[in-house]
Amino acid sequence: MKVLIVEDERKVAGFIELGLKEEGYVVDIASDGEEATTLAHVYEYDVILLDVVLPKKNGFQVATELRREGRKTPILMLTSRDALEDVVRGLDAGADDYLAKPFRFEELLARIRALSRRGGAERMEVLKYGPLRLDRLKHEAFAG
Amino acid sequence: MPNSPLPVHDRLERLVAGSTELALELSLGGVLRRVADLAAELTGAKYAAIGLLGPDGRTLESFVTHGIPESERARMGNLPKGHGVLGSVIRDGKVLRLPDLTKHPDSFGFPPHHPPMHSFLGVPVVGRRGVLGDLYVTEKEGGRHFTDEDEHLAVLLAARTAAAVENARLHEESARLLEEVQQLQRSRERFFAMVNHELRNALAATYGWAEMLVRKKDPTTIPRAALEVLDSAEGAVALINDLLDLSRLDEDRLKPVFQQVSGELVARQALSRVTPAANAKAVSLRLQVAEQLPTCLTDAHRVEQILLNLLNNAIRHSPPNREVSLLISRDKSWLVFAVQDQGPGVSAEDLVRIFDIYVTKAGEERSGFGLGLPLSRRLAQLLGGELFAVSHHHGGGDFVLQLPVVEPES
Repeated sequence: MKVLIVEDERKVAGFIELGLKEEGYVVDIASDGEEATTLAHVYEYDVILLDVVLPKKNGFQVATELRREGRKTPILMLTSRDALEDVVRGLDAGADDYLAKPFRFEELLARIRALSRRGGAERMEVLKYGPLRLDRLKHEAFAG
Repeated sequence: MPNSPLPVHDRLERLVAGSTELALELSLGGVLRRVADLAAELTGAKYAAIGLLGPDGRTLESFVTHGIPESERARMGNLPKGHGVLGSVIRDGKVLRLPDLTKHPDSFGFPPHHPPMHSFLGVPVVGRRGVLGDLYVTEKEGGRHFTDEDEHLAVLLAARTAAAVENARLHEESARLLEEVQQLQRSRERFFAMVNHELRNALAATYGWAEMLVRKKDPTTIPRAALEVLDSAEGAVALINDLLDLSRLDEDRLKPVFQQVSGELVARQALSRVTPAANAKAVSLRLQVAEQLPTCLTDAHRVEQILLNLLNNAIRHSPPNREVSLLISRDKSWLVFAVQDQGPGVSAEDLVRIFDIYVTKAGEERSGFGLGLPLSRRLAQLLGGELFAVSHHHGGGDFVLQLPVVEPES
């Protein structure tokens, strides 16, 4: 299982990396939003752990971009701010789950396992029904 | 405008109705416009004007007219300066009624583009604490002069005007205070959000590494995990201390203690305190002191606090086996401390942001910088100095603290 950790706080990224490696995962770390999208383009990850507050590009922007490009990799957002706002924004941006800091590593593990069981984001950005097409990200609807 | 003046009774009723409208007017500009219009109407004048004195009690801060078209008003230029006949009404605080303004000894003529004016009635507007300004009407219709009744009405109107002006000013003041309170409220919310964010991050690391210790999956990682727990816990404590300092700074409760301080001494103390952290990363520390440095009248404890922050940042960002240097020099009236590291440095776009406290909206999230730099900058300013970052072409961080050198009296 290959996991991408997107987290700029080195200590936090550190223990997640150690814990996941002990569980047998292969781990990459990105410390800013741009590095995250670059790595996500190059490699196929089973789960992406995505912090919200990042240099260069924030977590919401990364998630939105990845979804827009059709990537269905499960995304788990890590929030350290007013949880509710971030959670709503995160889920709307395409994240599949969230965890507020500080969190138990065991819980993070369990959620990662649950996400990889679901096998990819079921969320569809463009809904089609017959001649009708609804783009949920661009808020556009087409008929015919 | 009627050809013959209205009977006094009607004019009084108009005054009363007009006064009610005035009392309901909340903007100062609105009050002045209504007064000018009402004055002209009540006295049958072609032109009317109201001038309000500014806070210095001598120069006019506003002058609103009635009867002069906007285009001509614009060509006339600045506010009257309170010279001549206009000024005398204010200075004397008495009513002045003239059949011909131009013949008054104080008259010194009109500015260019000013319409000709002859008949004149000027009334001071007197508030609770003295003269607020004055009300003038000129050019009574039909070429006549202003009458006793006109003067009486004008005086009554002036009294109403004073009340309305004071009312409008109070209203504007309270709106301003309300805005201030709302701003403070927003500030408070942002502060709490920031505290929440910073603490969660500091604790996440402590928590996570502690859990690694508890899991005990791989004994070889225990030493590292233990160190990380300690380090992040220290980070959390440092965060709280910084927050306290920032809050004290905000409330003006942080009072520096000024003494003659040797920059070199403070620097050496700071360096010895960060030596363990530097050794842990195999980072070497270098001190370079220029010759003949003056002592500095400043707060040694706060200077050390700033230097510790800069040095710890430098060590944290420095790659292992490289060097962090602290250079002290004099630049005219400044004592300059420069802390340099060989790490990734600060990007141009971050040069300003790193001194900013708040995590703001999406896309502008400040991250991972901690409170040390914002606090250090404010401390530097409290000591009369400044703290800034310099971006290097060859990479590496460079932070400069400058403090004013005040030569002791000898």
